[in-house]
Amino acid sequence: MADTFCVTITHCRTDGDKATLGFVVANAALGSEKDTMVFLSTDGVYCAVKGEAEKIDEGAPFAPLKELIGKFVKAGGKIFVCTPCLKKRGLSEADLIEGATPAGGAVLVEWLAAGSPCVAY
Amino acid sequence: MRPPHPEHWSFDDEFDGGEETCGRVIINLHTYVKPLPPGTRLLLVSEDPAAPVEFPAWCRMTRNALLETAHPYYLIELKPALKENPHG
Repeated sequence: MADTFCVTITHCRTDGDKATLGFVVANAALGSEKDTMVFLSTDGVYCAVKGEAEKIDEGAPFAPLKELIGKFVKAGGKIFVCTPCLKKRGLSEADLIEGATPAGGAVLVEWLAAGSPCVAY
Repeated sequence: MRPPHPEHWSFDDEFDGGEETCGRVIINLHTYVKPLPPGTRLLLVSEDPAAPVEFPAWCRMTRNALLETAHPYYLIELKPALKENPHG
C-alpha cells in the first residue's frame, strides 16, 4: 500500500462543492497517515488565495472550506499551486495563504511517478 | 440517548467524533491520537453511519488495532507494534 496520496482540485469559485470535497478527502488521507499533497490548478488555485476560501461554505455536514484547509495545513499537509494558472489570473506568490507553495508540473509528476495514487475534483 | 458502551471494555482515553463524517472525523481523530503513546486503549465513539467501514480501514492503514466494535463504539489499541518491549 502506498504511503503517499495526491488530491488534485480544479475548482473553487466555479464549484465550491468540489473544492470542499477535495479537501475533505485530503484530510481523510492525511488523517490516515498518508503523506498527502493537494495540487491546485486552473480555477482551483483560488482555494489558496488569501480571502477566497472564506467565501466557500457548503453548509452542514461540510465544514467551511477555510476550516478544512486550515486543518490540512496544520496537520502537515502540502499544498502546491500551479504557477502558470496563478499568472494567468494576475496572481502571484504574495497572494497565497501560508502553507501554499507555487509549483509546476514537475512536482506533480514526480509525486505520482513515485507511485502515489491520485484523485481529482 | 446512546446506549452505554459494552461493560467489559476497558480503555485509557476516549474520543467522541459525534455525528461528523468522512475526512472531518478522520483528521480530528488523527490530531487527537497523535500525542498518545503506543498501547493506549482508546474508546472511539462515532455516530457516522459509515463508521463500521471507515474505522476498520483507518486502523488497517495506520496500524492501530481495532479490538472490538459495537457501533457507535469502537475499541482501539494504538500502534501495538510500537509498544516498548521490556525484554529488549
